[in-house]
Amino acid sequence: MDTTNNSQTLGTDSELLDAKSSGYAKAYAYAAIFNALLVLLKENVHPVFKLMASLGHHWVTHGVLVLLVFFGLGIFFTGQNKQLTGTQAVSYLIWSTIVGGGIIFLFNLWHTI
Amino acid sequence: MFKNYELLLHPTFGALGMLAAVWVFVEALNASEDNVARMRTAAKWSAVLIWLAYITAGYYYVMYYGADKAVIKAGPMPWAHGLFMETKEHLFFLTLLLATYLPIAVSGPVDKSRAVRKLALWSSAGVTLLVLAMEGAGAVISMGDKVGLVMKLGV
Repeated sequence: MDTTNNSQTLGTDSELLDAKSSGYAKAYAYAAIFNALLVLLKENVHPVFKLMASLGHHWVTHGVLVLLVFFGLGIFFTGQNKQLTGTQAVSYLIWSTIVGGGIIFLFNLWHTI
Repeated sequence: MFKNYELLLHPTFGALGMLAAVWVFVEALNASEDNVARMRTAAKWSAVLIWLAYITAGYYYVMYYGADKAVIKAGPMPWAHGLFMETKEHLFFLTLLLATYLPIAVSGPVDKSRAVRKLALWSSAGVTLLVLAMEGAGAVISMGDKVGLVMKLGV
């Protein structure tokens, strides 16, 4: 396979993605950070935890809220039609996962040791 | 009995969802007109399987995990709940969202655009790594439960 020709026909990482891929990449990033902040909020502010638990189970409420943020912002950002490059979209995915996941891990580590 | 099967279904769906994500990664590495449709099918399977892992885990967690939690916290590995379960139950949402995003990431011209291919590669790699972390954490939680039960029963 001639990879040189293949990369020439493929274009570059800075090409723009379509509106849906761009919008949902941003929505994922916001939802990932929201998820981590909601953990901090419900674990530190007891009335918030109680309210979330009163709607059924705190974890179920948590999941529903995160999914609402993801799909809600996904529809909103897609409608905005602001396209990201491939590199920008990947940066959103990677950094929000590291930051969101890191906050949750460090918070629980802090409370365990 | 259903409880035990359900506990097996959760990591099984997760592992199969991860395999589908690896499949997407490999297809994206070799993206061409011939395999784009197959890649999109694998991405949809990954999303469906991770959702099934979420539903089975959620049901078990809400209905039965309380008893396991008490055993783990009273046993020699209380951090299996405090650190691993508390992290896993919230980090799982990122796995679910990224797996849901995967079919969107591969909906563009993966075989013609380097940008779309990069997005497909990183999204599928992300799902794979997150599921591996979930499976590893699940193993630690399971071990915490087992040693807690051994201590409780004095075996």
